[in-house]
Amino acid sequence: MTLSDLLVLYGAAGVASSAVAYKKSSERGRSALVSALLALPLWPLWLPVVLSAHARPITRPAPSDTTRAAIWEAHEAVVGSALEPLLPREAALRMLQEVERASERHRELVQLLAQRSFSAQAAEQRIEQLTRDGSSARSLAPARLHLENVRRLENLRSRDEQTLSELGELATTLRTQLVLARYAGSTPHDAGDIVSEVWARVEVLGSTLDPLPSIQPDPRHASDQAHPASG
Amino acid sequence: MNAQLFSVLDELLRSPEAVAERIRRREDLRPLVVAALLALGLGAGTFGAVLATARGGVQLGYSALKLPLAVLVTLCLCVPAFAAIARGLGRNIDLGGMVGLSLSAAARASLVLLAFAPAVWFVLDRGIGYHYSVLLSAVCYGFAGISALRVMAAGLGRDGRGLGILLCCAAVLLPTGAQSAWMLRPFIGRPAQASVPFLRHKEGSFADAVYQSAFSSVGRYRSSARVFEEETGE
Repeated sequence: MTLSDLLVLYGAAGVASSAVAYKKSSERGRSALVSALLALPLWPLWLPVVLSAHARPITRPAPSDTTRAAIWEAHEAVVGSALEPLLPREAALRMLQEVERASERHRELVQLLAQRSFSAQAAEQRIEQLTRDGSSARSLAPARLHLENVRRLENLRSRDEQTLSELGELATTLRTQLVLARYAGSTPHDAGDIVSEVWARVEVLGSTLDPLPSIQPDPRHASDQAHPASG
Repeated sequence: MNAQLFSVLDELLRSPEAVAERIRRREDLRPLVVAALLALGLGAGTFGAVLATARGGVQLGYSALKLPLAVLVTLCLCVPAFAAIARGLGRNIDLGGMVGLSLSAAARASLVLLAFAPAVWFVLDRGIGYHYSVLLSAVCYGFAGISALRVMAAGLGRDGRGLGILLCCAAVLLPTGAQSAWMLRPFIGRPAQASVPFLRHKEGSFADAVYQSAFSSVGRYRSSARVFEEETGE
C-alpha cells in the first residue's frame, strides 16, 4: 500500500466521519457544520469525542456525585468574583478528591461487610460456639480480634455514611448561598461558616478512625495468652 | 463562546487538575477539544514560524504549518494506543476522554512554546547558527513536554499505576513523535540551501539519523547517501 492509497483511505474515512459528526450534532446550523468540518481532517481525534458526548448516559447521579456537583457548582458560582477566595479552585479540587476517595472507600466497605466472612453476627456466633465447646483463651483470641476488626470496619462505614450525608446537605446549601450572593450581588454572611463546616467534614473523611477499646481477655485464661515462644 | 474559550485556555495553563476533573466527570469535551486545537495551532504554529526566521521566506509558512501538523499526526497515531494502555492497566477512561486529555496536554505544551517564542526569536536574530538553533529548539520542546506531563499525570493519577501508564504511553509517543517530525522536516531550514522544500526526500528513518549522528559525534562523518548505499548495496 502506497502513501497515496493510505491518504485516499484516510480521506474516505474523514468523509464518513464528517457525516456522522453532522448527524450526531444536537443542533443544526453553524455548530453542526463546524463539527463536520473538524471531523474531515481530524476524525481520529474528533469522532471519539463526538460519539462519547452523544453516548453519555443521562442518569441520576449517585449521592456522592450530587455532592461533588454541588461543590463544583459552588466554586463556579464564585469564579472571577470577590467571593472567589472563599472557595478557590485548589480548595474545591481538594474537596472533590476527598469526597471521591471517601465515597469509593464507603462503597468498598459496604460490599465487604455484606459478605458473611465480615459479618459481626457470624463472628459473635463463632465466639459463642468456641466458648460452649470449652476452647482455651488462646483459641478464642483470634476470633475475638476478628470480631473487633469487623466492628471497627462497621464503625468506619457508619461514620463515612453519616459524614457524606452531612456533607451533601452542606454542599447543597453552600451552592445556593453562593449562587444567591452572586446574583444578589451581596456578601454572604453565612457562606464563610458553611465553607468551614464543609472543610470540617472533609477533614473527618480524611482522618483515621480512633481505635475501639480493646476487648478484655478472660482473666481465667490470661496465662494462655502469653506468646507461644515465652513458654 | 469567546469567554468560554478563554476560560478553557486559562484552565489549561493554570489548573491541569481542573482539566482532569472535567474528563473524570465525563463532561462534554467538545469545547475543551476545540480550545485545545486552537491553542495547538496558535502555539506550535507561532513557534514553528519563529524557528524558521533564520532561514526566512517561504520556510516561515511551511514551519508554521508543519509543527502543529507533526503534533496532530502523532496524536492521531498514538491516542488509541494510550486509551488501550490506560484501560488495560485499570484506568476507567474512554477513547474520548483520552483524546481530551492528550490534546489538552499538547495544547499546554504549545502554549508554553508560544511563551518561549519571543526569547527564541531574539536569540535566533542574534545569529547563533543552525546547530545551536536545533539545540535551543530541543530544550524548548523539553520544557514544553514537562508542562504537558502535568496534565497527563493529573488525568491518569499520581499513583504507581498512573506512573506505569505514563511510562508505557511515553514508550509509544517518543518514537512515533520523533518519526513524524522527522518525516515532516525541515522546520528550521539550512541557510545554505538554495531552495526550501516543503518536505525533504526520504533519507532513511529517525533511527537511521540517530545512528548516523552517533558516528558524526566521534568524528566519523558519512553522508546519508553513502549510508543508504552501504546498507542497501545499491
